[in-house]
Amino acid sequence: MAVQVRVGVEWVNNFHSGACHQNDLSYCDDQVEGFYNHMGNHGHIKVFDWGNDNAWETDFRHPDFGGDSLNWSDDVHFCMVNDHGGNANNVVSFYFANAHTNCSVSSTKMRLGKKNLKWLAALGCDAVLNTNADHIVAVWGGPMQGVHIVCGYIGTAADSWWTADLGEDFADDICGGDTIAGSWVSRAYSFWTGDESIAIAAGVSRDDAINRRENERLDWRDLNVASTNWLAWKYRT
Amino acid sequence: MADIKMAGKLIATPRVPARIYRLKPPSVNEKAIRALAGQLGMRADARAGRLTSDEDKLMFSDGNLQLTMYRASGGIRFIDRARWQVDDRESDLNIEDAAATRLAQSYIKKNDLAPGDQMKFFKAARLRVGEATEGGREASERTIDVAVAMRRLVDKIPVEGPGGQVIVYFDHEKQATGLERIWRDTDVVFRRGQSYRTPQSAIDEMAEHFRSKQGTIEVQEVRFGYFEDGWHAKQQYLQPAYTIFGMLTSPDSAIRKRTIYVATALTNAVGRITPRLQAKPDQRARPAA
Repeated sequence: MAVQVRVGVEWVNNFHSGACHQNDLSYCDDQVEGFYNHMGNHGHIKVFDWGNDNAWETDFRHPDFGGDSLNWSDDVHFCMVNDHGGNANNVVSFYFANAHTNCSVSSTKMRLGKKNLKWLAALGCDAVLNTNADHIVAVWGGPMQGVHIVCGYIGTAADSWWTADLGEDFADDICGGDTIAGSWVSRAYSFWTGDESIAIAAGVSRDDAINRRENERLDWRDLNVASTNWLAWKYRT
Repeated sequence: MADIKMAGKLIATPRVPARIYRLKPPSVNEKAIRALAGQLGMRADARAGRLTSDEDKLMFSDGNLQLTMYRASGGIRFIDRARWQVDDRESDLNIEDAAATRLAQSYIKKNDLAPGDQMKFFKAARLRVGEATEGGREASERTIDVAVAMRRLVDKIPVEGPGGQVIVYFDHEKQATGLERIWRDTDVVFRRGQSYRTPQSAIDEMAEHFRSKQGTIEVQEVRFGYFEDGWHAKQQYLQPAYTIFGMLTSPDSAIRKRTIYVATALTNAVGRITPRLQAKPDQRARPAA
């Protein structure tokens, strides 16, 4: 193993009635803890696994907006989050079980990669609503501030026993030397469930962004994105 | 307790005769993987290639070619790492589904991956790449491959599930770059189907499954077919099932997520298909920041 990666995961299955009410989910923990544990099995560092009431929106909100992201999501190299997601007016939000401090965090309050975060996998719905270039860059161009690659879904994703292995397969792939964007798009896409996957890479130039989309692996951890001037994405649909 | 709502009309209870098949245990060992490698055109003699394994998989690689067999399912993944999903930064594949399907059928036949009369086209999915400046300027997009999924048929009934399919990937030159196949061999008929339960009873089973969950599941589609599981599942029987595609919706929120539940369809079915939800211990409360 050339480099060691710090990993953190958050997930929500059980929501509460009241201000933060959403439909309960059932398999978010299976996916992200599969990822977490398999990354650990491959020698990477398991830093945090926060589930249900322990998953907080402040872990993703940048301190400029009163959050604590630099001590959590942005204090690891690879963060995976699985809960309800939503997207409106080119702003994606992650929803949490209780208000700490709010029920959700919007991408306008994220500064992904300001500290250590290199890769974010957001397994909730609606990382993007469609694949129009204008939409993709409007959603992610602002929040990607040093993070190398964001992985997610186009539209809704399935909360299903039948995709519970996704996290462990993805971890095994990338720890085996597969590219991060390629592995995500391949593993997260499902003909049967209808999940459509997308990976978005940042770069200082067009070539840099494309190179990361096509070739970036875990051992690119320290090849920083000095400035997000370009985005390059791949998806299957 | 999850509320169940129907969006549209429920399918009728099937009448087609169906059986429950016992499945052969997969043969995943060096002899099997080398034989398959040879079948797929890899150098497969005893001196060729590199064999590696872990608890889930057996892998054989030679140069850019990598063949993986999954121990639980016998599923195979064959990839040309030099070409599978690789972008040459200029090509733009333009191929209709029908033409892609013909390519897949030809490849599957040539490599003896599945009988032609036991599969049908399911879906073609394209791998697209795009770029733009952070401000959305100079945007461009291309298609770099097409993946064709062929669904298995058993007794002319489609097979549902993460298994029961062959997927073939083609690059911009319309050359195969990879394949995935989960297609467990059937053994003898274990049991002849007596009669079918109703689709509504499968939905009732789903409601019971999610009884500890709060929310609303809108049933959007129910499909009937045999059910075959995925890469990591040991499966002993192939039997008819109802697959329920639902949407978790909320009257007071626009936030949604899909859900999929699979229930047996025969009155004399073997066991259940979707495992029961397991109660998991709560995490210890996180200290306040």
